[in-house]
Amino acid sequence: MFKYNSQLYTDVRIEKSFSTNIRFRQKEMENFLEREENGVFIRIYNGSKWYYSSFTDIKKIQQEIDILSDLALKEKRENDLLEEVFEINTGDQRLFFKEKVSDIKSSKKINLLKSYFPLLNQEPLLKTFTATYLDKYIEKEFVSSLGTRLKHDFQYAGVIFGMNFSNDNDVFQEKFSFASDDFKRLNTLTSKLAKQIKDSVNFLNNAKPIEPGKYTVVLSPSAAGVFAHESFGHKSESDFMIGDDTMAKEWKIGKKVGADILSIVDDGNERGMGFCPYDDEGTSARKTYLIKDGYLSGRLHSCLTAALLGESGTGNARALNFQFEPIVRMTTTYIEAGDMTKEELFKSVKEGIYVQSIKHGSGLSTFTLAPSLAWYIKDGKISHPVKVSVVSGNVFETLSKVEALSDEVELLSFAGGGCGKMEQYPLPVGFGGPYVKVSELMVQ
Amino acid sequence: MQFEKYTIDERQTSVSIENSETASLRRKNIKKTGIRAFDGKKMGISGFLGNDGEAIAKKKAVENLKRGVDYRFELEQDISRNEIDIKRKISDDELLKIADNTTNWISCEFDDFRFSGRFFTTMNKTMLENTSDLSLSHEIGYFSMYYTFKKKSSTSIFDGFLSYSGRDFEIEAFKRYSSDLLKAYDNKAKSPSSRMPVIFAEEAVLGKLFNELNPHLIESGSSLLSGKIDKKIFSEKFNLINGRIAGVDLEPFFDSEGVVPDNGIFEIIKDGVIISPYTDKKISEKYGFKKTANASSAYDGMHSPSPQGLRMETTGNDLIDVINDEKCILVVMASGGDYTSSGDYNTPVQLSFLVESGKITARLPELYLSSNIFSMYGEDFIGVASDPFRKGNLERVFGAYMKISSQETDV
Repeated sequence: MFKYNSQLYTDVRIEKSFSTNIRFRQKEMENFLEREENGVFIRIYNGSKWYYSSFTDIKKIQQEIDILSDLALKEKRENDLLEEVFEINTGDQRLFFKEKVSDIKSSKKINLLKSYFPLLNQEPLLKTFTATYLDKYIEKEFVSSLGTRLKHDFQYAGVIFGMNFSNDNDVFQEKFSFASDDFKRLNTLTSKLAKQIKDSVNFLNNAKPIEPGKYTVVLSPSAAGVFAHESFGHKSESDFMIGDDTMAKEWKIGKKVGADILSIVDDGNERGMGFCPYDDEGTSARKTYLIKDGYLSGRLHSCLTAALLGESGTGNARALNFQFEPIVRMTTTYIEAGDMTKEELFKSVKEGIYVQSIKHGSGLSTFTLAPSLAWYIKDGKISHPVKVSVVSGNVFETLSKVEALSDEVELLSFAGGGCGKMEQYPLPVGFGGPYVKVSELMVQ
Repeated sequence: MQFEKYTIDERQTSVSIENSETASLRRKNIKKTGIRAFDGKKMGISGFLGNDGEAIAKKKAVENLKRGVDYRFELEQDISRNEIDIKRKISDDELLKIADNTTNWISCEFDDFRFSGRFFTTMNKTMLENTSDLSLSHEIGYFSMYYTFKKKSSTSIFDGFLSYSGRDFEIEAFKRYSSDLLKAYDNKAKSPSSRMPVIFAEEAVLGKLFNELNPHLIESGSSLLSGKIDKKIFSEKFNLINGRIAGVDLEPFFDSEGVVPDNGIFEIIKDGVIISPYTDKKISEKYGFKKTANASSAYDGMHSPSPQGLRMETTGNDLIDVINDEKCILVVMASGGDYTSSGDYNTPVQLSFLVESGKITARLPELYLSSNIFSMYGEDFIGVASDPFRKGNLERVFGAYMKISSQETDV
C-alpha cells in the first residue's frame, strides 16, 4: 500500500468522520452543522524518537512518509522493542457501518430534540434551556510496516439539555446528558429527564449551604465512575512510569492500595463512549483490573510502555483525532459491584452527603468532585438538598475508606465533554459503578 | 444570494519531552474553510479541510439554507485589512535545538527533578472574505511550552508545572523563573495566615464570571448578574473589555461576523459597573444589549456570543505593589475547585508558593482557598498586571485577598 523504510517502524492512520451538531435555545434553532472530515496521522519510530505528521491531503501520505523517514534516519538507533509487543491485527472489523448515524435524516434528529420540548416547557421555574443533539461516525484505517491492515469504526449519538432555573431568591444551572451508539435509545429519556427537572426544582427552592467539614459521602454510579477515573484511573496510565524507578517501586503489582471490597476495571469492550475494540496502534481491547480486591493488579499501556516495562499491551493507546498521536488513555472505567442493596447502603449512613450529579472532577494527589445536585443524609434517609462547591480527599487514603458498595453497576455515557490529558481534550470515555459509600471526605 | 468564506489555517510544530529527553517531533498542517450562504433570511454553512472542496461546500451551503438558522443581518462590507503579527519564525530545527538546550539546562541545573512536556511553535492565519468586499486577514506566530516536573523521589505523577508563552521565547526570563520556583520547592513553609493576597494566572479565575455574563442567562434571570446591568457591583478598579491588548492577545482583530471594533474596545464591565453581557449581532438585537463584537464560531459553524477575547484591563501598579510589599501566595496548581449556585468559591490548591518582597521564597503545603464571586472582583480585588515573574510571558496575573485554610484542620 505504501513504501516504508525497512530500518524504521512506520504506521499510518486514516480517519474519515461524519458529525452532526444541532442546537436549539428554547424553540429557536441556533446551530445546524453536518461535518465531514478526512485526515491522516503518520508515525515513524527510529529506536529512540517518534516523528509524527498530521495533515488532510490523503494524496500526500507517501510524500510525508518519505519526509519523516529522512528526518528519522538521521538519529537511527537499533531497537526492536516494538516488534515484540505489537499485535498484528487485520481485516474489516467495522460494526456500525450498516446503521451509521450519518445515514439518519437530519429531520429525524431535529424532531428527536423537539419531542422533549413540552417536558422542558412544563416547569415554570425552568426559565431557559438549550437542547443539543450531537453525533459522530468515524471510520479508521490503520496500516503499519509490521503488517497491520485494519479497518474499524466507532459511533455515538447523544443529547444534552442545559437547564437554567431561577426563583425570586436563587439561581441554579443543571445539565442532562446521555449518549449511546444506538440512536433509538435517545427516544427513551423522558422519565429520567423529568426526574432531573424535579430534583433541580427541589434543589433551587430548598438547598442550604453545607457546613464545611469531613463527612461520609455516598456517590451515585456516575459520581463513583468519575471518582474511579480521576482518583485511580489516571494513575494507572503507565506512561508516567517510564524510566522512573521511584514510581516502578511505588506502583508494584500486588501492592495493597484500597479497601478489600474495592475493584476497579478498565475495559474497551464495553459499549458506549469508551468503546474502543482496537486502539490507535491496532491493539485489541481487553478487560484490565487496575485494582482487584484492594490490590494493585494492572495498568494501562501503549505498545511502547508495555515494551519498556516488560508487560503486555492493553489496547489503551488512543488519540483524540487525526491531529494527535496516541497516548495512554482510559476507555470505560468502573468500580465493580458489592453486596449491599442500594437501600441497605443508604440506611447505613447516620449522617452524610449524597452526591447525585457532578459538574467535573480532577485527580492529582488530591482528587476532587464538584457536585451539582447534592443532598444531606440523616439517619439513613435523604433529608434536604445542600450547596456543595467541592468534595475532595487524598487519593490513597480515600481508596482505603471505601466502606460499602451496592450490588448493581451502572455504566454511563455522556454526550459532550470527556477526558483531558495535556493537550488532548475531550476524549470520549465511559465510566460507572455501583453506589459507593466513602468515609471522611472533605466537603466544602 | 451572498457568500462568505471563513478560513483558519494552522501550522504547528511541537517537540515533546519525556523524562528529561526529547521524545518526538510532530508537524501539523491543518487548513479548515467554511462557506456561508445568505439569502436575507437564513444562513447555510458547509465546510471542508485542505485546499480542495470549495465548489462542493458552496453547493452544500446553499442546500443547508433550507434547514439553516435565522440570520437577517447585513454582512460587514467594504473593509480590507490585513495584519501580520509575527516577531520571529522558528524553524523545526531551531525548535528542536531550543527544546534540547532548555531541557539539558534545566535537568542539569535541577538534577533531582524529572521533566516532561512540550515545546510548540505555531503560525495561525484567519481569513474572512465576502461578496460585499470584506477582506480581513490576521496572521500570528507565537511560541509556547510547558514542563511538568516531579522530584525523582516523589510518588506523584507530577508535582508541578512550568510554562511560558510569548511572541518569542525569552529564555533568560524563563530560566530565572524556573530557578526561583524550583529552588523554593525544597524550602517548605507552614500554612499561612487565614487571609492573604493570592495571585493566579488570569485564565484560571475568569470562567465563572464569563458564565454569569452569558446574555441568555442574564436576560432570563438565571445569572447571578441578572438585574445588575448598569449597577456597580465590583471594585471600581475592575474593568473587563473586548479589545485586543497589544502584545498579549492571540485572537484576530475581528470576530467571526467580521466586526472590527472602531476604537479597538467594547466595554463589558467599566469601573466595577456591568455595562453589558457579551453579545453578537443577533443577541444584541434580540435582547437590546449593547453590541460587543463577541461572535464566535467553528470554521463551519453558526455564530454565537462567546467570552473568547474578553480581557481584564491591567490596574496600574496596585498588584505589583502588593506583591513587593506584602506576603502573597502564588498559585501554580489549583485543580478541581468550583462555585456554588450562590457564587461561593472553594478550591483545593495542590501547589503554591510564598512570595515575599516580590521573590518566590518557599513552597506551601496543600491548602484550600475560598472566596465569593462578588468579593473576588469587589472589595477583595487587588489588581491585574503583566507577569512579574516571567518577562515576555503573555499570560498576566490576577490578585485578590482570599481566605486560606489548611487541608488538615481548619476548614
